[in-house]
Amino acid sequence: MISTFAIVFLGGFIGTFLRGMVMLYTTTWLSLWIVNVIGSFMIGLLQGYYRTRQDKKMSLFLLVGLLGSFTTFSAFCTQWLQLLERTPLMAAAYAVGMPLVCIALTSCGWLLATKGVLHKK
Amino acid sequence: MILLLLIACGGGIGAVLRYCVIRLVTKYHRPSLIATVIVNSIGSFFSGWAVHHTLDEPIFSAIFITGVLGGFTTFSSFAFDAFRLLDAKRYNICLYYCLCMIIFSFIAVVLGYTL
Repeated sequence: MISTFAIVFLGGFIGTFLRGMVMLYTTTWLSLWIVNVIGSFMIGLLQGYYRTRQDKKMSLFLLVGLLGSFTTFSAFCTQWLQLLERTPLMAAAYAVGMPLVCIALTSCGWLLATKGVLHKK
Repeated sequence: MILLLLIACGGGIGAVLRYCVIRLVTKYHRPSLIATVIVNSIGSFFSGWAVHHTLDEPIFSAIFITGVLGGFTTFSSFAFDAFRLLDAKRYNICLYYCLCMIIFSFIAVVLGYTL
């Protein structure tokens, strides 16, 4: 019996490790887009997948731990702050743009999981 | 490589802290949407503070900002919660939720930065 905290810790460890790897090989700006876009798509996909399946521990590990740590909101905010100091118009577009893109990709993942290949009756 | 592992450890700690907040919020029968807003606002506040104040300690800064705070805050839950509200045709609540999240976090990061 592993405690749920240990499961979340392990997921968070792996998620942050993966994000660190992405950041190593790309610029700060690009890496933020990559992690948030992939993470948002994956959460739609996995939430759809686990909707009809009962696996509390695995979903805790993947959804709360891994994907929760892989994506980040704090970097989004600090980069927005940097933009605001230089070009306020870009900052406004950025603040609206990233959530819109990410929510759109989440719905793509969800549709794929509930209506597409992973669908289980 | 060792630094990356330390950052990952920080991320694990951040994730556990986030999970604690989620459990605390759902214990009082509040929706987990509120937990995400709380987590992201607190995380943004500290990251605003940290970018300003930990510049001369790059290793601590990497572990704290990229690791702990990056793991603590989350974009995926936010995107999924917003999508669920859209899917349930609760457009107004979805709009308020997104606005709340973005405005609270941005106020928090500015506050943290200027502090």
